[in-house]
Formats: sequence, structure tokens, C-alpha cells
Amino acid sequence: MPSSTSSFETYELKRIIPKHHWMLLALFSVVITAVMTLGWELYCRSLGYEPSINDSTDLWASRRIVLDAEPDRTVLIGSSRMLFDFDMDVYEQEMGERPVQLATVGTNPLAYLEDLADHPKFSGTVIVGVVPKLFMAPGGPLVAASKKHLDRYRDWSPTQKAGHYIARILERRLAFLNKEDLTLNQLLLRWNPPNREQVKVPPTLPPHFHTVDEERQGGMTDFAEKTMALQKRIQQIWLPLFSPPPPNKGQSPEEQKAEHQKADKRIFDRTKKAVDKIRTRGGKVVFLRLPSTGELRALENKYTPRTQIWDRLLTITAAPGIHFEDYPQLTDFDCPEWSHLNKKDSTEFTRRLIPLFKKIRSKGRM
Amino acid sequence: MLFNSLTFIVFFVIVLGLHYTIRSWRTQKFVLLIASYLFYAAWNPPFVMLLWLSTIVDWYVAKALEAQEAPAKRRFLLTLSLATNLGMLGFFKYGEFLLENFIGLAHLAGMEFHPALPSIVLPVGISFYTFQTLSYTLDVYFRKSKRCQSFLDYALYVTFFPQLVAGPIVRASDFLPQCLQPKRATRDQFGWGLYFITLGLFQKVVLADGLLASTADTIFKAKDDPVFFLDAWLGVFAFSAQIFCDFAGYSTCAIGVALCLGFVLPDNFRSPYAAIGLSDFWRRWHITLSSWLRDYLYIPLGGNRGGTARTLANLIITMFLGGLWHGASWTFVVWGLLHGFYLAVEHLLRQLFPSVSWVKTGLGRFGLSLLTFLLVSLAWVFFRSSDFPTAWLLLGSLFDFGGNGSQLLLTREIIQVTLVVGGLLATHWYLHEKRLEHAMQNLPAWWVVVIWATMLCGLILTQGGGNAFIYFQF
Repeated sequence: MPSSTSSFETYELKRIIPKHHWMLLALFSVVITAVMTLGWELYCRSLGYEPSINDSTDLWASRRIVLDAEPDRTVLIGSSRMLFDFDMDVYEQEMGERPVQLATVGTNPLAYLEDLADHPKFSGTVIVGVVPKLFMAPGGPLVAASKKHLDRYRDWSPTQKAGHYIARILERRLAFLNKEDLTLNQLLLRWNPPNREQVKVPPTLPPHFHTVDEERQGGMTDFAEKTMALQKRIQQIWLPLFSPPPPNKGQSPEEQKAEHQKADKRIFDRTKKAVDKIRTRGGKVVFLRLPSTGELRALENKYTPRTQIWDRLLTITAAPGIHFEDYPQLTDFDCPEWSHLNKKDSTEFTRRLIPLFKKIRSKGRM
Repeated sequence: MLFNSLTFIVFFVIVLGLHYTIRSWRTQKFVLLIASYLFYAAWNPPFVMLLWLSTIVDWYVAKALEAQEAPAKRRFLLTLSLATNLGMLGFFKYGEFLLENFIGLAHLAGMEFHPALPSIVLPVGISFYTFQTLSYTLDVYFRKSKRCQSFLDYALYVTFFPQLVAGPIVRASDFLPQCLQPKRATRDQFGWGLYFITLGLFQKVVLADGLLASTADTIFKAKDDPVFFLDAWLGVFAFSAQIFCDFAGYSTCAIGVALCLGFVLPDNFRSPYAAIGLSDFWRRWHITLSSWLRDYLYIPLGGNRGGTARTLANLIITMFLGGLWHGASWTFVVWGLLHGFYLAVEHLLRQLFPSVSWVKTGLGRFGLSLLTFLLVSLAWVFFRSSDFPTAWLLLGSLFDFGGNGSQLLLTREIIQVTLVVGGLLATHWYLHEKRLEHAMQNLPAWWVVVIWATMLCGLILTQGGGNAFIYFQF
């Protein structure tokens, strides 16, 4: 705010056009950009990328709105294991109904369960993929991730919807439009000069890990399935993520334990409330513990033992559940990076789940 | 609808197609008006009704004002317009804030008062278009300009989509005359408009969202522990650069879009981070808002005509309200008051030391420019912080040179922010006494092509889109 009124002139409404042949310059710029983009597209394809759909919040919202029109559909919620390990085609063939995939990577799915519980008409079956560490997360990025998806669905404006449908047209044709791996930011993430000692480097999943289709049928890429070096890198990312965090500053281990127990109770209470609410409208909830292997499974069993999480969850909610360790036919799968099945195994795994689902359905619990 | 979205590209191509194929100027304006309503409704269709309300009330008030001579009736009409526009703004923008403060006061007074807090959605751009329509009514009231004779022209003035939601805030006297004659951009005007759109999108998508936002977010989200001073300064500088690139990016796009349609919108930014002094900063930052505040608030309050004490008070009141305009939070108020304080101190220094020679030397000017940037950046701490504890923690970190605090930024982020902020400051300093247009004119054509193609490639590579502009929340 100028303090002198006399020396201040109101903005000038004049637009000078620099003396260049601007349309010609525009044309040259567009041609150069088109050539560069074509080169980038060919380079990305040479790295093994194919046109693919981005697993965006818009794509999630586009699946979530399906339930508003068809509230009796079966829904899959959970985190990446549910997204990777569940074959919707097999489920449809065997169970006669195509589920809606709403599981998202790196997510606590409780908010999704509560969203379905609050849906005034939802009366379908919810299959909840449980990764104990993620399901019991009291806050932080795992909870923020589900909120971000729900916010998009709730505030999805007409312009965002239109943008999503246009983006899908382009994504189906251009490999470089891969937001997981090929944006400027993702490329910059791969450049890691040495950091100061105290700096905590956040884990980032390496490129080429997973894909989804328009119905959000996810899966591990062939590249990830076959590349040992990539698998080993991902394994090393899981280990710290699935270990307990250090106690807060000034907090004793006992205090930390007590805090975790309180947080666990809150989550169990919320889960029970949501399950009960779904049941009152005729809906059903089934919990599903998908496989993990190697050191990760040992870590999960150590820090989130089934007696403390899985068994309590089923007892408190009185809902049916399938834990892969309880069925020999579900245990002989190998997760290449300890946490997810490859595409072929996910099909077979789902096929082996079907009789168990049918059994639950025969009891009227699904 | 966001400029940085695929939807906008399709929308704009259709609008341009219609604009340049329709022959009747009246029909062209009608198409622009409908397009503007669609542009706005694409966020939240019901809020278009607020636009209509503001348009209709000010249209009829201005019409009555011109015919009315009796001062009391004229005052009543003006009050009606102010009450409608400011009432709308007050309800949607300040309703929750006022209620929260009332509850806080009630608790201080020992009263237990727990009303349900309403969840009010802020209509996008309401602060911008209410100020725009108010300026029209105020100009007619003060007989600075005559009322518009065409409702179509007036409605287009209120709603013109390029600047509807985040400025520049255009005066009726600047826009309405442009509606009188058919508008078609010349070939070069159109090309220059496209260059502006590219530049604006590059600022927003690549610089603000792509290279700066995450660093600023990391530092401003650190609520519990102090931050190492280097990281704190870099985070604050990252936000300084981010908010400029975000907001100036929007204004640049708006100017470019309007230019492609044959309309001229005013500049909103002129290298503000090369400003020498705070008074100069406000001549360069959000120019159309600062001139609005000057003409409709500072001068009516008495401006600098009532002696030093009155001038200082007027400056602080104006900046207090300027801060509140930005957002319904005490942190914005403190940001505005801090700028008011800066301006008051500068005003006093100018009076006390009217002829200091060193400030006119190149080095003196450069030093003052850096000092201005530092002061502005410090004020951004209050603007960006979600609450006062965060702001105080960060301010403490900025001046804790003892090596305490968490080191949060990766080396890559440090390099990234240093390069972008350094580049931005160098560009502002280079352009601080010249316009972008002159600088571009002096560049060889092949250089323009290289810069343009680089920006386009940056946009394609960043794949940005969908991130709202920061100023939409105001």
C-alpha cells in the first residue's frame, strides 16, 4: 500500500505487444515441443513403459460413485495387497457379481469402511483387506491417504469429472503420462545426492512397481515380478515401514505402549460401530488377511501378532474372516517382494478363496 | 475451472472457436457471458446464483443512483449495495470466524456457549468479484463514472471468466469501454496472449507446484519441534517464491486468455521481489487490489492529508483490512498489520531522512531490495502458518543460529529451492525497471522459441494439473 497518494499512479491499462511474429514463433515452439515430446514418448517406451491409467484420486472417485447408483454391490477396500492380490474377473466368474475395487496403496481403510457405513442406502458386502500395521494406524500419512480419496469423491466438481475423462483418453494412448514414475517430480526423486546426517529420507517406491486398469484392477508389473534387484530394493523399504516407530520425545516405552493400546481400542470401537451400521441395512462385512512372506511376515507376526489384532478384530465385530495362515491352500504362495503376489498368483489365490467365500455366503454372512 | 486443467483447454478452444466464428458483436458478448457462467459453475453450480445476485443488485442500485439526487436516498442505495455484497462476503467468508471468536469471548467472560459450528463452503472468487462490483457502484455513487447502459456489458464485466475468480480486479471504467467495439485479437496479440498463458502455467505448474510447494509444506508443517535455521529460511523463501509464482501465474494466464479474446486486462505484478521499500512493494504486488484499497479505503479515510499520525493510522487500518480480505483468520490480520507497520516505519524514515544519498546508489538500492525481500518473507510466515504456535516456532527457528532444530530438507530440495528462488530474484532484479514486453522485444526470435518450447516441455513433463491456485481460497 503506497503511503503517498500523489506519487502513486493507478495501474496502466495498456498492453504492448513485443515486435515479433508471434504466431510464427508459436508454431516453431509447438513443433519443437511436439518433437521433444515424441522423443520422450519413444524413450519411455524403450524403458518398458506402456500407456497405462493413473491410479489417481479421480479414478477412485469414478469407482466410488458406482455405489451411489448400485448400493448393493460388493466392495473391496483395504490397501495395496487388496489391490494387487484380488482378481476381480475370477470373483465375478465364480460368485456371479463384479466387485467395486476401492482399496488404495498405503492406506488405512477404516475411513472407507465408515464412509460405506454412513452411506444411506449401502447394503452390499464389504471385503476388507487387513494389513494389521496399516489397519491399526492411528493417524499420519496412512490415514491422510484415505481422507484424500474420500475428499475427492465428496467434492468432485463437474470440471474435475470432465478433466478425468479427458485424461483417460490421453493416458490410454501415451506411455509418458505415468504419474507414478515419469513426472518431473518423480524423476527428480531419483536424484539423491548425499544428505546431511540428521536428515530422514522418506522411503519412495521405485518405478515400474504396479499398474491399474480403468476399474482399478491392480497388479504387480511384469518388470517388478522378474527383476530381483527391484524386489530387493522394495523389500528394504518394507522393513522400516513395518517396524514400530521410536517413542515420542520424553515418552517411556510403557507410556508408548499404553498410548498404542488406547489407540487400538479406539480403532476397534470405530470398526465395530461401522460394521454394525452396515449390518443394520442388510449389508455384510468380511475381513481378509492376504499373504506376506519372508522377513516381512516375521516382522508382522512379531509386532502385530494375530492374537492382538486379527483375532480381536473378528471377536469384537463378530464378522467372518479369512486369514491366509489358516488354510494350507492359501499359504503356498511366494510374494516376490514379501508383500504382494504377482499377477498370475493373484488369479490363483483368488480362485482358492472362492470356496471359502461360498461357505461364508451359504451361512448368510456374505 | 482451473487454467491448469485439461477441461480448461477444451473449454477455451470451444470459446475461441465460437468467438471467432460469430459475426455479431452482441452475440459474441452473449457467448462470453454464458461461457463465464459455465466456467464458474464448473466448480459448484449453485454458487452462480450469488454472482447473479451481486450483478442484479449493483445494476439496479447504480441505475437508481444515477437518477437520484437526494443525498439521503443515495446513501440508502449505496448502503443497500454494500450490505448485499459485504453481507454475502461476511456470511460465506467470515461467518465461522466471527462465531469462533464470539465463542472464545464468551468463554473468557465465563459463559458456556457451545453452538454447532456451521460448515460453510466458501464460494470461489467471492472476494474478487464483490470488490469488482462494489467499485462500480462506488464510482457511480461518487459520480466518478456514469452507469453502464447495457446490462449485457455490465454482466460480462462482473463475470468475465479470465479474471473472475482470482483477479486482476478490473475497474468498470477500464472494462466497459472495451465492450463498445467488436473485439478480435490481431495475429500478434493472439500469439502474445498464448505466450502469456504458457508463462503463467509454467509459473504455476512447474515452479510453484512442481519445485517449491513440497519444501514449503515440509517446513510449515513442522509443528512440534524447532527447525534448523538453514531449513527454516529455505522453507520461508520457498513459500515466498511459491506464492508469487502461483498468484502471478494466475494473473498472467488471465491476461493471456483475455488477450486471445481481444480484451486487455491490467498488470497485477511487476517484479515485486525487486521492490525497494515496502511502499514500492505494494506498487508491484497485487497491483489491482492495492490500488482498490487505496482508492476506496485509504483515500476516503483521509490518506496522507491529515498529518503524520493520521497517515500512519490510515496505513495501518488499510493494511489491517487488507489482511482480513485475504482470509478469515487472525494470522492474516497479523500479516496485514505487519505490512501496515512496515509502511508506517518507512513513511517515518522518509520524513526523517528525506535526502540520504546512499539509498540512490546501485549498491544501496540492491541492499534495500534484499532487505525488502527479507521483510516481506518474514511477513509471509504469518500468512502461511495455520496458527500462531506454528508461526512463532518458525520465527524462533529462523533466528536460532546455534545449530539447534531438526534438519528436514534433503540436499536435492536445498539445491532445487536455491536455484529457483535465486533465479526468480535475479529475474525480478533484471526486470525491476523494465517491462517484460520490452525485455522480450530485445530478445532474438530464436531465443524466444527456445524459452517458449522449454516452458511447454516443462509443463508436459511436470504433468501438473488439478492443484488449485492458492488465491482461490481468498
